[in-house]
Amino acid sequence: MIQRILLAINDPTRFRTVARWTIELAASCSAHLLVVYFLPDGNLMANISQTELKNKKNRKNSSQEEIAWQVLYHIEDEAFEQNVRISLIIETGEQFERLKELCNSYQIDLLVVSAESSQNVEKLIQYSPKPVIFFKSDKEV
Amino acid sequence: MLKKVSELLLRPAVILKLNGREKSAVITELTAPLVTEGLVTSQEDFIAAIMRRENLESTGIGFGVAIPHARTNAIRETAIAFGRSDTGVDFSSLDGKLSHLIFLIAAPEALKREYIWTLAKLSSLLRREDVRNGLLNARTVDEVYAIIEQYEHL
Repeated sequence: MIQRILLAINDPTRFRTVARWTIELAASCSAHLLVVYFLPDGNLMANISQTELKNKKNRKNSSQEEIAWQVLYHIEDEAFEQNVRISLIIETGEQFERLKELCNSYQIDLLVVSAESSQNVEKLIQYSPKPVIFFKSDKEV
Repeated sequence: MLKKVSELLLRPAVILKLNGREKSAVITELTAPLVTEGLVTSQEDFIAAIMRRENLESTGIGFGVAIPHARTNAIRETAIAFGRSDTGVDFSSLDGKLSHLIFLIAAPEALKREYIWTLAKLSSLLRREDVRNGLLNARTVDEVYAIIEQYEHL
């Protein structure tokens, strides 16, 4: 029985189909959906000082985090329409390791990953602690 | 043109010491100034919309911050209320921590883009430790505005 699904994304242009599909899956089995958005390493604004933030590169990073939140809240809004319980997470760092940690921390039953969003597709296929569904592209399951 | 967080934050709705200790009491407390200012057409409907989301989502984003929110026809224009709790309130944060900084976002049903933009902007802002510390230590409403304005311009 699937009670908790983890959806991992990192591309603001390729999330709608995978998100919609995962929300429908979560709705059909009354599962709790956790959505994690991976930012490129070092882009988490919580770790950047005010001085660093003033330079141009970090201003760009700031908007990347805002875009990530926009994606997450879009997904949240759709999940809400379908009465799906949802939690949002922003992460940075090595995706495979973080996904493994999240699977354990939140007792995840199923992992859904957009192929474009994973730096380590082969690694996940071989060593994922939980069953994984990959989306080859935004348009295909 | 989308408004900044500091422009959406309603001055009478900045409460530096919340009385409520439970989620529903705090939401009612933060909603009251929005009603007084005429931004909410039906307090009952708005609170019901907020609580419906609370039952489905963790609006506690971690680090002692919660952002309860709702988009509903019971709201005339987008607004933000802010309250600070000394004791902390349980908003079911994934990190298990109580929320001391609570921002409530109210938006009209039709303004989805502004609503999501505001949520994203505020979430990003509040993940910064220096912003959170500034808000925890602010002694006046003006200081709250000063901190938000300082960081949203960066």
